[in-house]
Amino acid sequence: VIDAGSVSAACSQALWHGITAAMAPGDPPVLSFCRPSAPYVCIGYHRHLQELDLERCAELGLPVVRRQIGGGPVYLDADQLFFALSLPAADAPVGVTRLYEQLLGPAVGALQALGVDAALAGVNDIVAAAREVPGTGGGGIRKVSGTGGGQIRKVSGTGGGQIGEGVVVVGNVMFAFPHERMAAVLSLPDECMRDECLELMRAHVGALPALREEPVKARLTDAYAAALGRAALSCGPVPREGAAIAFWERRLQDRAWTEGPALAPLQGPRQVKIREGVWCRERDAVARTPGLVSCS
Amino acid sequence: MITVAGYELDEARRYGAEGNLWVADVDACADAGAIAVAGVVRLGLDPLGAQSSGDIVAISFAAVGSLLAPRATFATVEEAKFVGPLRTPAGGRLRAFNEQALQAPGAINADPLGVWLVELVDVRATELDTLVCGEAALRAWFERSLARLRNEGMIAE
Repeated sequence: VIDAGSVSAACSQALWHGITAAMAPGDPPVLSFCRPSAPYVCIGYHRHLQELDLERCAELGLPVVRRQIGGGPVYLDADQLFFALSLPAADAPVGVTRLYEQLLGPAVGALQALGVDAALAGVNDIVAAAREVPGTGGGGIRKVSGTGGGQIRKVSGTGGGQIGEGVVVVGNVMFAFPHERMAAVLSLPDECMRDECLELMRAHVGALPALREEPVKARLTDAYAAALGRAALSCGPVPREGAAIAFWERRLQDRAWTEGPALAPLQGPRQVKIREGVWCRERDAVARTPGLVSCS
Repeated sequence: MITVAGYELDEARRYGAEGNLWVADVDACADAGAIAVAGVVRLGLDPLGAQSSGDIVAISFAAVGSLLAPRATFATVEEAKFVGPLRTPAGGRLRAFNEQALQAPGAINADPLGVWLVELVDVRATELDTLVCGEAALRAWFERSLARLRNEGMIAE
């Protein structure tokens, strides 16, 4: 277990990129933790920078970091704990569905042990039944029994990838989530779609304000140790991991890397995935706004 | 074409045993509009490679002109927020990638033998010789691959 604590935006991504890239066959799995000391925006490997309002990001002082795993743009800050399980590719479950089931299952179990009614939804969203907690801006989730009639909200964003000879599954635990900031950094055709995104995010993306960092880390560590059949050993990065982390910290701040690979042009109406099964599409925003003929 | 356990394979192509990729001479490809050049091959996913990759939502390629060693990453594919490499079974210089695959990655799943991914030039014949080829070897290797993937739960019975 490597707990890097509070680190820079770039290091919060470089940590698990580097640990995974340094993996060699036969290495033990590594569970890593960190929290970014400052907010930033992170975008998946195959996503266009044009999905972000880069001017707005700059105004808000938000660096943009491209990660080498999948998924869309996300707003990340110090109210989120990142956890990542890295292991040799040869030891990883085969097939993406099984990989997420087996490597996110312990995280779901850890949250359940902390009293969160968590579950894996779709392939890789961690959700919880939600009821609003006063004073949390409508984004809070507390323990519910069974389904409790509460709405399902995403409480952890996850993704995965193979980097070198290692495979990693990454997730976060959101203690708070500023929906407005997330909606603000997206490049959208008009403000009515931004309002629609914000509304959907508030309804479908939640946080776990009742949880505290240290118990979450302890439960995640216990859950992964049990799932992997190993004793947890706390340590720092070994030299080759440290070198790989430093390499990735440089790469992730390189302009060419941030630009990303050549991709197919964006086509069709703008759409934003809110969580598994919930999308905000350009036409939806138009259709659902009374009296609005066209926003864009 | 031959059929092995319900999967169609082109016995005129060679196959990388590790990554379920096919390798074909350019002039042997079904849609060959390109000029046949000695030492130029196309790579694509075989039907098992496409099936076990899941629904590919995005693909990106190494830079044209890159010199790739055997097992080097020539493309990166994404499925369900998982990003992973495709590695060439033979070394060479990347001459081109398939714009169709870039624009519509779902076509790779739909027609793996028909959608090539990259063209490599200056491929060594000795490396091609290590790949699986010939109907008998192809049947035996493919059935082993299928059994392995079924055993690992990636492919349903």
